[in-house]
Amino acid sequence: MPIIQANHVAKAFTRTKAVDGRFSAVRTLFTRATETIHAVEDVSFSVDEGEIVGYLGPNGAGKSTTIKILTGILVPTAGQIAVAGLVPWENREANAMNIGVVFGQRTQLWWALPLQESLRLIGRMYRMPEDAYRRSLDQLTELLDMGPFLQTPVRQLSLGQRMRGDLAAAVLYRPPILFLDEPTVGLDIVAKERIRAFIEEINRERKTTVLLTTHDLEDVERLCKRIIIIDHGRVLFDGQANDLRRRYAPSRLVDVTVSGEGVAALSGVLGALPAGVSVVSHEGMRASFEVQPERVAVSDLIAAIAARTPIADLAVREPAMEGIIRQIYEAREVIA
Amino acid sequence: MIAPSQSRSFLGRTFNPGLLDVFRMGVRRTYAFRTWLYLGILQVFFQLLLVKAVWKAVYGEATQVNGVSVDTMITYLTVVGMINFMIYPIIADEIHTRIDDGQVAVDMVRPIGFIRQMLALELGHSTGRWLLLVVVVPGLLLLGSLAPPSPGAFAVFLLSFGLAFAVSIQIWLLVGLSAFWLLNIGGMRSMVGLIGSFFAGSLIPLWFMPGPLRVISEWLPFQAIAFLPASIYVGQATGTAMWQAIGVQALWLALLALAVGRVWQMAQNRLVVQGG
Repeated sequence: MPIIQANHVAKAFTRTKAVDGRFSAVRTLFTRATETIHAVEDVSFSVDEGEIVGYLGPNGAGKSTTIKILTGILVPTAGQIAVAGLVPWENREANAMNIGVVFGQRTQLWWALPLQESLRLIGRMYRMPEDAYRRSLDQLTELLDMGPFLQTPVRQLSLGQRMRGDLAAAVLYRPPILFLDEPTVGLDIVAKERIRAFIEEINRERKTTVLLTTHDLEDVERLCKRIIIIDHGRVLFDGQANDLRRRYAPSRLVDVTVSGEGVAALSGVLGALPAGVSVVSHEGMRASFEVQPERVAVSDLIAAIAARTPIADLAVREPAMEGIIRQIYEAREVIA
Repeated sequence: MIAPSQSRSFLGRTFNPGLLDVFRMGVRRTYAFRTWLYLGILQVFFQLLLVKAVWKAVYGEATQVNGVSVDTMITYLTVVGMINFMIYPIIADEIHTRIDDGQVAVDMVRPIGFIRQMLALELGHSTGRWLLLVVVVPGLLLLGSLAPPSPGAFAVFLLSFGLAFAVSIQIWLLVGLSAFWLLNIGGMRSMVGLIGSFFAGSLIPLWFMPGPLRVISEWLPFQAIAFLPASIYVGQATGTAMWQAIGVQALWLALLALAVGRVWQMAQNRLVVQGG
């Protein structure tokens, strides 16, 4: 049973066209010309309860607009949406109770208030009973290690601390659905990892459904089994991350370093490679191979080398998601 | 917790306890910019001094003009000064700021309607200002006169003041919502401010305005903000006229509230969130 459903959603914005050339500022005032921007052309998908879905696309693809429609901020020009059974923009307040939202680029906390005061206010807005609020705050303080800065005014928090505070605010009232719009933007590696671990934990423990947009593919590799890629307001791909990997870059890379005496033996190996293996590079004691797993097992290649010479070092690499996504963004075609 | 579906009504039915916090934040807002606040108080005093001087000169030796005594005139100006201090909405600027920096997106995912959040904030800010009446009223008494009307008239004045406050907030709410289309409401704000203060009768009471101007004033909502409550206070509107004034205010309030509801419905389709 899908908890989020989007059917042929479209959103167009109209804006006054700026005039170029002399006195452009004045002339813009008197022009009636407008242009229509189709931020979302036609997007359909559904998300099941408990899924973590990566919602990806290049800048300006329509990701944030979709999130803003799903959260009830924007009214779409066409299409139907149900989020936990509600039409978001028609039931804004009821929908708000069902969802948690983090916009990485802005905060829902109050600058002037200490973090804990901000969270208490959120608790009241979401009508939490005192004991439920306490329990939730204690749990989140521990999970996100917020103890040291609970009493600090939000404007003085570091970006990493603020983002943890924003995540806490989004899940405090235990919403069944979480929308995360670039939750790791601008964070250092340690802070990013903490956020990822937290998302994983909340999803595992509470079965929270998560829709995540990001430009950091580490987030995707770590969290999302399923990804949806959009561009120009249309869905390019919707499926398992593994399928995408298999289709776009099925091969594995094997880097081998042999010990000093094995240089000649390594050259011998290169002359008699199993079918499905090709040499990417070879220099002295080191060689890199590309292996097609459907034709030959990586272990067969390793066994073949080991039979001739001792191996000093060995690494098997999967192609990084980044390369795959780059190919898709550049091709800009729908993947059937 | 999956909440049941609710109606789209912008006033809503169930009270959200978070509104009290928004209200308190509004009170805090009043005192966030103290210099500005103190200058605002000085401005009220200064304006009273100036218009009082002008009107005293106009009256000269006359004790009455058009049946209005010089004392009544001074009380009128003082009451208007007090009303202008008490009705000083920030709601338009609040909405404008939120549209301008995109924070409106955050406001709209909260479980309290956007308009209600803005109204609670405004109510808090105004309450914060009203606490300062302990300074403003003695100052006004020193510079002008607040000769109290009959207890009955005073009670109706309070009702009229409440309506004036509500009408003013609706007007500024409309100005604020225009930011959904205009993105920058600076021009709109100063225009409404200027026209509003003139046609509200802040400088010249409507009873002294020449024919055509008076007609225009009577057809605009601004008289409901200062002129009508002040004329009830000074006893220029009594009996039927007094209740007629209340009726005019209530009518404007209803019309403006309808307009706000309508404009808000349209604004939601127009919303563009700045800065992604």
